[in-house]
Amino acid sequence: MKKIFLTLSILSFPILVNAASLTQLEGSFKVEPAIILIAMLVTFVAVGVIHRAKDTTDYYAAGRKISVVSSGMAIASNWMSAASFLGMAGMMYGFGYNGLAYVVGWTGGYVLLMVLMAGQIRKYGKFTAPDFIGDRYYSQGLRGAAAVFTILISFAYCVGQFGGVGLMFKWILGINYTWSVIIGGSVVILYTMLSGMIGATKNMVIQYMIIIVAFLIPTFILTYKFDYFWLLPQFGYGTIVSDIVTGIPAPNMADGVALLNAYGQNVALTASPEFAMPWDPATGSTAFQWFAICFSLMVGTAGLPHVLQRFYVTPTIRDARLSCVWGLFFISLLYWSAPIYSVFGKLLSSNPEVGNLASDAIVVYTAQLGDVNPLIVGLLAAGAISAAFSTISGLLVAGSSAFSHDIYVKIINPKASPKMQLNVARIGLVFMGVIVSSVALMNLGMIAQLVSVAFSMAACTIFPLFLLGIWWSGSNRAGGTAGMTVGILISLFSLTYFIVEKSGGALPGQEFVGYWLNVWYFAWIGAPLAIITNIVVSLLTKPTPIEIRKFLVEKVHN
Amino acid sequence: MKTNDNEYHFNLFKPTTEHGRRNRNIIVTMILIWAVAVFGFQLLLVILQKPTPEKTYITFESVWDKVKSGNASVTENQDYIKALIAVYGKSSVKKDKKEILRHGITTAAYGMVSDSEKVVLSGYVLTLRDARENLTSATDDAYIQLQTTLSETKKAINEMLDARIGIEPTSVEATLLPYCLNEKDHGLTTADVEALPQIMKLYLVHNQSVLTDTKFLGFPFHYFYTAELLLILFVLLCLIYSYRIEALDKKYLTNHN
Repeated sequence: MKKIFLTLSILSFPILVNAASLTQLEGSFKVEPAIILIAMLVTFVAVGVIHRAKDTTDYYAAGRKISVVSSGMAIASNWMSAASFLGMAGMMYGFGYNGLAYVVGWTGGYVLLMVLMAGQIRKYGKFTAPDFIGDRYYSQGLRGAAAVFTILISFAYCVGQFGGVGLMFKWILGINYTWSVIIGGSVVILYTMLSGMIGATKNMVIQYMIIIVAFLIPTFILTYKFDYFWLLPQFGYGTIVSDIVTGIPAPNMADGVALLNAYGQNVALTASPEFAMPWDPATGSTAFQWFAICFSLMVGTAGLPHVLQRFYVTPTIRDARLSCVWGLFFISLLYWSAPIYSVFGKLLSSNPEVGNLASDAIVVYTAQLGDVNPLIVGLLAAGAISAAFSTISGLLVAGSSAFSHDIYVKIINPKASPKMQLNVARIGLVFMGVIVSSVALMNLGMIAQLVSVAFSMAACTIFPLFLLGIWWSGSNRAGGTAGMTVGILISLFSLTYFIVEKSGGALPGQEFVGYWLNVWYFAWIGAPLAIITNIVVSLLTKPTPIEIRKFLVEKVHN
Repeated sequence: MKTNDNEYHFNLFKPTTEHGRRNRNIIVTMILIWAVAVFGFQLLLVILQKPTPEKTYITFESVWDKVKSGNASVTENQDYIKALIAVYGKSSVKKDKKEILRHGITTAAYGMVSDSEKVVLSGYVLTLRDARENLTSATDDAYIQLQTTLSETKKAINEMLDARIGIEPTSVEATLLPYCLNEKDHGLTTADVEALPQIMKLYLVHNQSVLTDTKFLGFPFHYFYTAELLLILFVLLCLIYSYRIEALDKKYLTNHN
C-alpha cells in the first residue's frame, strides 16, 4: 500500500469543514456545479442557435463541411454518452472484470465499422441508414421498417441517456429524479430542435473538449493524491487493481499517515480478487455473458444508425476513414480512464460507514470521496451531462431524420417542401424526446445495460443489411426482408420476456430466455441468424436488379 | 469484375480484380487479428482458469465442521469469525448474504463474552446503528456529535472484542467488526448453517491462472491486456487499415476519393 498524502491530524480540519458534506454526497443543492452546468448549457444553446440548420442538407449532414479531426471529435462526442461517462465505470464497480466487456465491446466495434463500413457508406452517398437500406434493397417496405427500427434503436439508446441526465441533475440541483429528467430533457430537446446536426456537430466538438477534460483532470488528481503513478494515470492505476485483489491488510499507520477518504474514514478493504478475476462467480456473471455482451456491443456499434450517420458528413472517403481513426482514439482516451474511477471508487468507498453507493454515479462519488475540489467535481458532473447531451442530440436527429426523411417524405408525402420536411423532423424530435423522458422515469436498469439493448437491436436488424448490402451484390430484397424479419422477431422476443419480467410476471422458459437471450446481449445469436437467413433466402430468390449491382461495382467498390 | 452489363457481381470473398483480391486480404487479415486478439485471449483465460480458493476459504473449511458441532477450540472460533469478517468486508457481497454472515459473526462474537457483557455489547451495537441512521440527515453540530458517538462506540466494541477474536486494533477486521454485528444474537438457523459454506465458497473461490497471477505494470496481466492493450490494438488496426486501403485505392482506382 502506498504512502498517503493526508495525515490524521491534517484531516481533522477538513472533517469539520466537510461536516455537512457527507450528507451532500447526494441530495442537496450544490452551487459551483450548478453554475458550471448552467454556463455549459447556455453555451450549448448559443452555439446551436448560431450554427442552426438553414436547410435539409445542413440538418441531415452538416453540409459536409466538417474537418477530419473535428469529425473525429464529433464521432467521439456523439459516441461518449452517459453510458461511457457514467455507466461503464459503474459496471466495472459493480461487476468487476465483466464490466470490461463494455469497454472492449464499445471500442472493438470501431474496427468492424472502419474495415467494413466507413468508406463504403460515404461512397454510397446516402443521408440516413434507412435511405441506404431502402435504396440498396430497392424496397419501400424495408426503408419503412429500417426507419421504424432506427427510431426504436435511438429511443432505446436515449432512455439510458436520459437516465444519466436525471442522475446528474439530481446530484447537482438537489431536486428529485423526476424533475431532473424533465428539466434536462427539455433543454436537450430545445437545442437539438433549434440546431439540427450542424449545430450539434459544432457543439459536439465543444462537448468533446468538456467531456475529456472533465473526465481526465480528476484521474490525475486522484492518482497524485494517493501516491500512485500520476503522470499517466491510465497506466498508473494498475497497482490499485492489485491492491484490491490482495486487500489492504490494515490502515497504514506508519509515519502517522493512513489511507483516508474525504470524510476521514479509513480504507478497510479485505482481499477482493472477485473485482479483477474473470467472470468471477461472486459477480453473478459467466464467461458466456462476457463473450455475448462483447460480441453484441461490437456488432451493434457497426450497426447503430446515429453512428453510421456520422460518416455521411465527411467531405471525402479518405476523411471518413481518418475520422473513424480519430474518433476511436478520442473515445479510447476516455475508455482507458474509466476503470480508474471504478478502482478508486472501490477503494474509497470500502469503509462500511460509506454505505451502498449507486453504481451509475460512482464517477462523481469517487471524485467526492477523493476530496477533489468541488469545482472540479462540478465540472465532472457537467461533463457527464455534456456526454449525455451530445449523444442524445445525435440520436434525436437520427430518429427524427428517419421519421421525416424516410417515412414522411419517401413514403407519405414525396412532394413535401424542404421547409415542411424540416418542420416534420422537428415535430418528430419533440415527440420522441417526450416519450423517451417518460420511459426514463421508470428506472428500468443500469445506464450501460439500457444502452446495450439498442446495440443488440441494431446488431440484429441494421448491421446485417449494411454488411451484406455493401459486400455482396447477391443480397436481394427478399433476403434483406427475411433477414430483417428474423432480427426483428428475435429482438421482440427478447424484449417481451424482459418487459414481462420487469412487470413481475413470467413466461414459459423465462429463466432460459433470461440467460441465453437476455435483452442486454441477444445479438450474439440474433445477428448471425439474420445474416444466414439473408444469404439463404437471397440465393433462393430472384437476383438483385442489374442497376443496383452496377452501382455497387462501379460506385462503391471502384 | 464484369464481362458485360448483365454480369455485374460483387462478392468480397470472390474478387475478380487485383484490387479486389488485395482489398479482401487486408480486410480478412484485420478481422482475423481483431477476433483472435479479443476472443482468442478470453478463450485462453477460460481454458487455463482453475478455481483457486483464497487462504481464508481453506481456513474456513478446516474449522467449519467443528464450529457447526460446537466443538471448536478458541483459536478455531477466532479463525472462523475472522473468515466471516473477511467475506463481509467485500463490497460485492449481496445484502441477503451479508445478513447471513452477520448472523454467523454475531453468534460467534456473543459466544465469546459473558452474559453481562452481552447486554453492554448489544447497547453499543444499537447506539452505533442509530448514529449511522441519523448521520445521513444530520448537519453541522449534530453531525459532529454523531461522528463522536460513532467513534467512541466503535472504540468500545473493539476494546471488548478485538483481543478475544485475536485481531489487531489497527487491522481491517477491527475496522469492519463493529458493523458486522446485530444487537441481538438469535443463533444460527438451519438455513444459515446450510447457506454459510455456500456463501464462503461463492466469494472466496476465484477463476485464476498464470495470466491472472502474472503482474505487468502493476496490473494483473489479463486485466492490463483487456483494459489497456486491446484498445491500443484497435486504434492501431484502424490506422493501419486506413493507410493500407488508401494506398491500395490510389494504386488501382481512378476515382478513389
